[in-house]
Amino acid sequence: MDTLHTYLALRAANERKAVAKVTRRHVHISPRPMVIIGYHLAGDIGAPLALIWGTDRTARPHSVVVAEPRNRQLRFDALETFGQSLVEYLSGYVATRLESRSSGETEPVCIDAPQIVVANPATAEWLFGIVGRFTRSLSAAGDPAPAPIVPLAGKHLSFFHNLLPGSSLVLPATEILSTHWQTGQLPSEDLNLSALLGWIAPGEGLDGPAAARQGEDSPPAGPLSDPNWDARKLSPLIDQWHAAKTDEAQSAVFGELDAEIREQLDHTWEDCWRAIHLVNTLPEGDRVARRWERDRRAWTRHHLTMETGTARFRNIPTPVQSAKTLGVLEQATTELQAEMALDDPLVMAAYVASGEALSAKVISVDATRTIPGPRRQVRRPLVIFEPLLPFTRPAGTTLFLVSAPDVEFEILSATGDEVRAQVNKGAVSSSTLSRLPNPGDNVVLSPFTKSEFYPRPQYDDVPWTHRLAEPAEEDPL
Amino acid sequence: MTIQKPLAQFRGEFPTASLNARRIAAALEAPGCHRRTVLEAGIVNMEKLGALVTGAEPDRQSPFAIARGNQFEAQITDHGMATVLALARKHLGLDIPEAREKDLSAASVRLEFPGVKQINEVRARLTRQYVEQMLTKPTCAINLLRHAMTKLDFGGEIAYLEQDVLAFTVKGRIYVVEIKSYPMIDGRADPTKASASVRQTAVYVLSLQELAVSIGASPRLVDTNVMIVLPENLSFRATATVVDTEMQVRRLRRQLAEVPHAATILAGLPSETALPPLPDMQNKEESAQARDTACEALAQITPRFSEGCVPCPLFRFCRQEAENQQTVSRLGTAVAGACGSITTIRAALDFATGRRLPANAGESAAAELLSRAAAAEAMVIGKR
Amino acid sequence: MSLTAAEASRLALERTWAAIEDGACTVLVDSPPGAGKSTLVREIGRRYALRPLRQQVPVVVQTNDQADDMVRCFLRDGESGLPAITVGRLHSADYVPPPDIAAHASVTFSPTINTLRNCLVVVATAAKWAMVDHSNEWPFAIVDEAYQMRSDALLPIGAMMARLLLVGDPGQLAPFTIADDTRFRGRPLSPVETAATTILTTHPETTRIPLPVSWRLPHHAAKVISNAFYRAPFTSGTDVSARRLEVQCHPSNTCEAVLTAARTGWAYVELDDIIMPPNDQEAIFTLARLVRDILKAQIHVFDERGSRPLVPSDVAVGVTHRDQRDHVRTAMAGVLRKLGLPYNAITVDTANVLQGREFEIVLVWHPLSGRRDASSFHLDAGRLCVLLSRHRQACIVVSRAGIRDQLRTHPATDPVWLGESAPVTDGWHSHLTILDHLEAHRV
Repeated sequence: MDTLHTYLALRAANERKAVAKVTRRHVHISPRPMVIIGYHLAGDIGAPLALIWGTDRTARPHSVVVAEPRNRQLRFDALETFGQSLVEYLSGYVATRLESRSSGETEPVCIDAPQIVVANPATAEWLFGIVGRFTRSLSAAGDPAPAPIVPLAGKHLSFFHNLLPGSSLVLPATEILSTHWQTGQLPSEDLNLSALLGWIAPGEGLDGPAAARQGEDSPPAGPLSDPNWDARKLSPLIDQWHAAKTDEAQSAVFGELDAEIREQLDHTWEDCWRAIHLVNTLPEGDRVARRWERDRRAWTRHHLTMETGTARFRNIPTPVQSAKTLGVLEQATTELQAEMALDDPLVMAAYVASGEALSAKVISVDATRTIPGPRRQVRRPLVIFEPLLPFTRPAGTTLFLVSAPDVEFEILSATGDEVRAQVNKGAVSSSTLSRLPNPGDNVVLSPFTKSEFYPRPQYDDVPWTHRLAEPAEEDPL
Repeated sequence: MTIQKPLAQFRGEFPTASLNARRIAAALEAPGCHRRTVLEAGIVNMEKLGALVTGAEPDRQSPFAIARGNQFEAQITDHGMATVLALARKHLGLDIPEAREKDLSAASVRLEFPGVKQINEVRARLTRQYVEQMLTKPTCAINLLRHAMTKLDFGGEIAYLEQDVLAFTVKGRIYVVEIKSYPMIDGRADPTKASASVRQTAVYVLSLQELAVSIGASPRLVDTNVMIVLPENLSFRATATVVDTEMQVRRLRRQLAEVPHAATILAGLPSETALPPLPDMQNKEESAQARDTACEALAQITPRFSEGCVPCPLFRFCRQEAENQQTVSRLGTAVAGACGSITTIRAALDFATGRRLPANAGESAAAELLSRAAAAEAMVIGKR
Repeated sequence: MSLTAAEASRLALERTWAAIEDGACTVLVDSPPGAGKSTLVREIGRRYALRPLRQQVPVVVQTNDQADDMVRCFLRDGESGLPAITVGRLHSADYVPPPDIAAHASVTFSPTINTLRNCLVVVATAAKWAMVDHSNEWPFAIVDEAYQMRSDALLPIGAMMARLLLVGDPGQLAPFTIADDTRFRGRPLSPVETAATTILTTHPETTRIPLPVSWRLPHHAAKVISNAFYRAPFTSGTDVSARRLEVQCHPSNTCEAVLTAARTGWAYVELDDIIMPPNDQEAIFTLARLVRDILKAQIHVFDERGSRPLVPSDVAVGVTHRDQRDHVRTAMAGVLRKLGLPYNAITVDTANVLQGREFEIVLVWHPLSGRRDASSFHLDAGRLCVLLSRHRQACIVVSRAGIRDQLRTHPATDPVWLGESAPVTDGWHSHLTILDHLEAHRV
């Protein structure tokens, strides 16, 4: 944890309320996200117990409850209902328009993309990683056979698994809240959605810690239910359901079970919407739209492979796929870090506090300065700054202007009251000199620049160095 | 002075818990916490103590999880251990034609020796006998023990350890097999659960090593590579993985040597410091009184609050205490580390805003960083 | 009959060559610090290339500095009477050859492989090899620093090269990624694991040859490092009397740490037990003062090559974090300025960057110094090993007291990924072993 966030955590604890760690919103919020909440049976990650979902905060959410989650037929019935609803929601995002790429070519891209909001990363992992993984390849010839919509929905769910850093296609509520607010509790306590919301918006007559306690005592947000509730309520009801002799008796027990489960899940439904609302009150960061465009393109690609029946998912990626994934992940990670800092002065403040970035007033600018280059004299403007916070990075450090991130500075010397830096790139020709700051300006220089694209080697065959001799086996839900 | 005497005195009439591998493995979970160390060494029933001082119901395991675990284990150990043998062949590279197993569970031993007293001691003695035979006479009738009972010196107290694992021998070496019910999905298992399994299995390995030593054999005859059997994907089909527990066994050996340290912690306390007897929880007055006594006793022993505390039954109690005392550790080890020698939130903020001036090197270093952070934030948000 | 160090090293080299000649698909040489890894790479490269078939041998290294060093050593070998060999240096478009080798007749620089067809050895970074057209094929290649190389970087190598000799130091820092690598954990062949691990997983039959002698580490360091960090033991190639530092200035004009380090090869400077954030001014000041004392002590270096005065470039400071590095560099610049030296006269860097380099005297800011809690990052055995094995003469470690307590209270609750091979060395245990050693050299 960097010192700014340490300081903010101390303040949150002291003020008994979460404090903002950003001044912008760094995620895209869809006008019509789909919120999904679910429980699976304890110890049995493949056995969904209940799901509730919907796109309208004010309407009663849809739901399915599985009276006996270990019964595959009942499981498939529930997933069919859910799958229909999911596919219907996703089908609202297939309209395309032609958009141009950075390379200049145009291609059809979905105008908008779906967005799924879940309570926490564990729910995302369960829903997309497990339910998606074990339903996408279900065969209609199985016994019992799932409705075709079940594997179809499974493929869609799989698309939403393991998205890139900075993607807004799936928003785990706890994650978006802790990106934007700092609480005064343990980092692991922030994984409890109700407790986290308690810190951020404690409500009438409560402070953060008290509201967090209250949140902690409410039923879990899933995907695991409260084990004490399992023992006290769920287990006897499932037994009664089995014992019921008549259909009426069974549906009576089912009604009770349904009500009991909804009572557990309903407040999380409300919590998810509160989280979306809270985050949505912040003004959107400039570069959020770029990342959402990347999301729309990813969704478009998925949509097209589904249309053409060419969507393929691997349970265990090949080493070649993993290597590609890692490359993309590294790039997305770097970009997100840079974009958030460039978009948001409070995010950048963490780097100023740590000393990696320089916040300073411009004292003088010598735009005409030249130094000997390899062949001839080259223009290297000299800028002298007065640091607003002491800056002690050694000579040779490379920094970029936050307001024009392709202007590259090299630190020549830094003392308590003066930092001398020369411009090496981005403002060294007469056409770009206007990017230089002016004396009197307050500027920030940071380690973040425009991201570079590195060409990646293209190949698909797994070479001999990475070949293992074990075939993967299939194992449906 | 035996170590257990001051611990027993501190525990008073508060219920004890049985010592099992999970409990002993806990010595590795919070070795820096004096409070936890004393309670663990004193074999205090932590769940009951937690419920008493926090007023919250202890978290039990879901009946569904228990049922599934039992079902899986039964399936693995059925049919003459055919599954275990096949997995051992595949994963440990051991060829065992058949399992000649001996069940040393209490029920089974009672059946064999009706009317036996001190059942645990008898089981331990039998375990010792069989292990000796298995090690010295590789061709002996038995090659696999279930529900064996080993002993472990836990700060002077001999702990009887019911071996949840299977122990089998091939060519004079002992191998430990642990059966767990969390799944291995596409080759991967939950790393937190696996971490706990490995710690627990290390306890069994260690106690078997001690047993080997006590019969004059080399501890190296007990292999630290243990086989963990898990359900594959969502099925009940078993898969296994071999993991080397040497690191954990070594750590555990050191931690167990530290258990006597608990007595020295207690030596510094007022002599009357003791836990109350467990009250009738229905009786409001009685339980409130007992809670106060327990809280007072606990308050005498320094805790070390951190992220790792969440699963501890006393978590809510210690958290409240940290909150009342406004300690920086309430916010986790990262924050506490960044605050250096500054221990309270108030003081840290006073240093950050310059309301207080550092008096020593530790304070200055932390104050410098915190005030930079405060200044950097103020440049964006405005002065506070 | 026991072998001399030189004979033991020679034997390992010949075993390696024999395995390659035998047609082994993969050979892995485990080299402790300074065990002649680079010499072995060049010798094998030369032998293979100079066989009657005259087949080109690609040499894969990890950084441009390593590539330039490799080229430099090939050229030096040629000048010292070993068979001269034409060396190609394949590089990226924006690379500028270092002046000392740029104009050498036996080396060709080129950004494309096709212009290097006539070179018997071609040296390039793994990243550059990855950009070579994959339809190229080579029967045999050498990978240097196979424990620093990530598995994903080995993919293109495997696509083009049929057999591999991998050489590396298993005790060094493992490669890492800035990305969240959770999704790759617990599976064989993760792109983040080392190239060596990948080869051992896919080719368990790999011939594995440990180099038995460290030519860098002095006698009093080899055993400590070998015990704490390496599974295959090694010894020092020089005996006790061969290496020595003589402090020429009057003992009262320097500090005890310098004298102790000169006398015993180790010194442990322990500061008060205070929990400190990373900007521990006293530690920074202590390191700067020690460097000043070393540079002013008129130290003479005696070793198997002869004797000479110690120069600033013989000294390095190793740290854990980049901000520590910056703080120390800034403080050091002040010291160096007063001595009339340029600000970068001595090397100050993190363990990651110091990997593979060697100096006469190395000062180490202990990774656990001043921490409240140890963490798996700071306990990493590779990090400590790199920091403590860069020196030919002496190592001075600076730390806050209290490390033993940090280790004692460190919980063993790190996540465990079943199926992932456990780390060879347990950092926690290595730290304890090293601490026992250091405390015997406390000043």
